[in-house]
Amino acid sequence: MLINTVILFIRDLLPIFILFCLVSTCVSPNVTDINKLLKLLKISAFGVVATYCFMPSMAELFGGIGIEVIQTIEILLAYFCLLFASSYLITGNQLTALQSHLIVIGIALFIVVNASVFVVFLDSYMASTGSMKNIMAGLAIGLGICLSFSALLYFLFAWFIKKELYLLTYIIWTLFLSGQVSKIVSLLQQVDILQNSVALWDSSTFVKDSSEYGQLFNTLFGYEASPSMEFIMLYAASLLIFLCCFLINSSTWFQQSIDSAKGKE
Amino acid sequence: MAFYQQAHAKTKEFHLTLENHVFTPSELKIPANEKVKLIIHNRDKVAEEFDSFDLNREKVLFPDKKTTIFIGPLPPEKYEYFGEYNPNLARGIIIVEVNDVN
Repeated sequence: MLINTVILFIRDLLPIFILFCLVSTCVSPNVTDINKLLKLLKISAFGVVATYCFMPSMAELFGGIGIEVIQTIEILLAYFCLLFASSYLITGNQLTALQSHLIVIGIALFIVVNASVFVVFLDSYMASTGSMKNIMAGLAIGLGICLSFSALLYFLFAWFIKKELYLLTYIIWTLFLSGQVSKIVSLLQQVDILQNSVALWDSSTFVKDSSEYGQLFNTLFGYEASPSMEFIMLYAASLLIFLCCFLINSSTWFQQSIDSAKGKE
Repeated sequence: MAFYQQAHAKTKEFHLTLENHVFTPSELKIPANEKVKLIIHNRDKVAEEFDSFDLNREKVLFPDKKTTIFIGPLPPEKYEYFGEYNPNLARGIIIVEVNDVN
């Protein structure tokens, strides 16, 4: 059970650490301001506790598909909040107050979706074994692994920014968020809101979904060994949305650069 | 919501029970190339998470509640699943067969 706690900690909470690394280095460096962090902590804690308390009732909503519907809405909201607030990567302009608020809301929703399932596990584990020692050890190891991995990512992304590799960081950000939003496909397929088509390919001979690499790639960019047509379509749509945002933001930035150059003349 | 329930009225139903962290039956046969409704009754006093990499399904099973998951259409094969919170005890296989398994 100790190993299981570590595995579930990493599966459920590592995406939050990666998101925080990306946001604090590339997307919105000023979000790490202490007031914003406190606000984020309060909203997230409230959201996680409320979700945990009402989860059994949520599960019975809409004829038993409540959790999937609510999680889909939360993931989509988080996705659009973070997407709208990611212009800094392209323009380098300071984020507006609205964008800063959206970043906080986006991260909070992301934390609620991922952490509430982990709290259900902790509660279940405590109720069945009552072994605090194993839980604390599992949490400490899981936290250590997540912190070590995110420290490496943090310095890597900080180095990318230092070297002005903005396009590369934007691509990483795009792949990460597209991977996260594509998870709604399997959520909706398991309650039959979306049709479940046959897998387009099967790459499990190279990297299995259940392997360590499979799970890491799934967290980093939504890797699926045998993705369905619906998954690929949503992933591609997300990439397209990011491409459009990139083009719109870069043309605005280009126009502003020309205008400021003319102003100086 | 009535439309949603009506649309799934004709889908074949299969049942699994979770008791003492063990799924029964441990081997469940379902028809190939057909969408089916899997109803899992968690009779334990604690929550469990139904998880399957093969089926790409993941759902929390709350205590003393029935949970529904749709799976398929699937090609004939064996698909493993497990309880994420007790992976050593709670394990099972869904066998997808061409023959009718009503």
